[in-house]
Amino acid sequence: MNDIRDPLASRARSLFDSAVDGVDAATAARLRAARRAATEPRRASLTRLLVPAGAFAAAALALGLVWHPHTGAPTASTPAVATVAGNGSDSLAATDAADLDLYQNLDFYDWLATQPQQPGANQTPAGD
Amino acid sequence: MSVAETALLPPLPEVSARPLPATLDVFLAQVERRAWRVAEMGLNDREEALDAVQDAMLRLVKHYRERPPEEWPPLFWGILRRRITDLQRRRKVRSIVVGWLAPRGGDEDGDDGPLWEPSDLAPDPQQRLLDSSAYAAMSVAVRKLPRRQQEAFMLRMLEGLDVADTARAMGCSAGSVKTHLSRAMEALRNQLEDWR
Repeated sequence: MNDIRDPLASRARSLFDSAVDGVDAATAARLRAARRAATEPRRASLTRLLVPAGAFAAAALALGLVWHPHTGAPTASTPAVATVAGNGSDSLAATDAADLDLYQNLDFYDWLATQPQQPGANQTPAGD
Repeated sequence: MSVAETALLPPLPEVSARPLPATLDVFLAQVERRAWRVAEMGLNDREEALDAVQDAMLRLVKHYRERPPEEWPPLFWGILRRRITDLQRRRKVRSIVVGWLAPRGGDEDGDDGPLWEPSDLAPDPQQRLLDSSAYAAMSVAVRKLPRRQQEAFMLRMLEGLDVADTARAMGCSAGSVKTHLSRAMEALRNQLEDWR
């Protein structure tokens, strides 16, 4: 401790402290900026981690979208819809009309199914 | 000044006596200006001193963030000391290479200059406002010391590290610190005779 009581040391420290206090504003600002740059890499490294994670997630999503149609096997209804759609609008209208007649005369067809079949009903009358 | 008068001088505060900083940011805020002044004194170049301090800050945060606060001062000053030494050596090598490549005209007196001449020994305007000539004289005198004596003086006397922390920062024993410091003080006393 004696060396610090030395007048030379005391004077030197006093001058040094004054010089430290007298650091100009520009240098002080640059030192502050340097300190901020040194103490903020944690945020930067977090960003560095988030960017590849986001890229990976986006790539996984894109891959999923591309892969999905292949993994989703066509069901039984899919070709039916495709077939109906493939016949064109005219045939679709004809099918709809036939179905409508069937539904309108459903009671008649029920009654017809309960009737006993008469012999010779299928024969064509002679002379027609 | 007599020995009795010397004994009456109040002891200078040491870094160890200062309260421990809570965070590394606070610690760096406490030492950044002092570190820059030390680097400037060692390198005699403001820009290189800034680079050295910034590099020391980055390395401390990167490698020693998790260390307890009481270890930060010797670690930081040790990093800064090594950075200053690196820059001084690089300068020396550069000046040797430039000396080889440049035409050997020599000056008219035929004297070879030093390997590296300080760029500007004149105090800057801020220093002129303070006790500038004395500080400049001290800086010049410190720069003339051998490197290890410079380090011991700056860390122990100017920054106020205790002997143990100075030894840790310098990477040597406490006894070596005392030896280097004693020689530095003796040399400075001889150089700064008008301070008596």
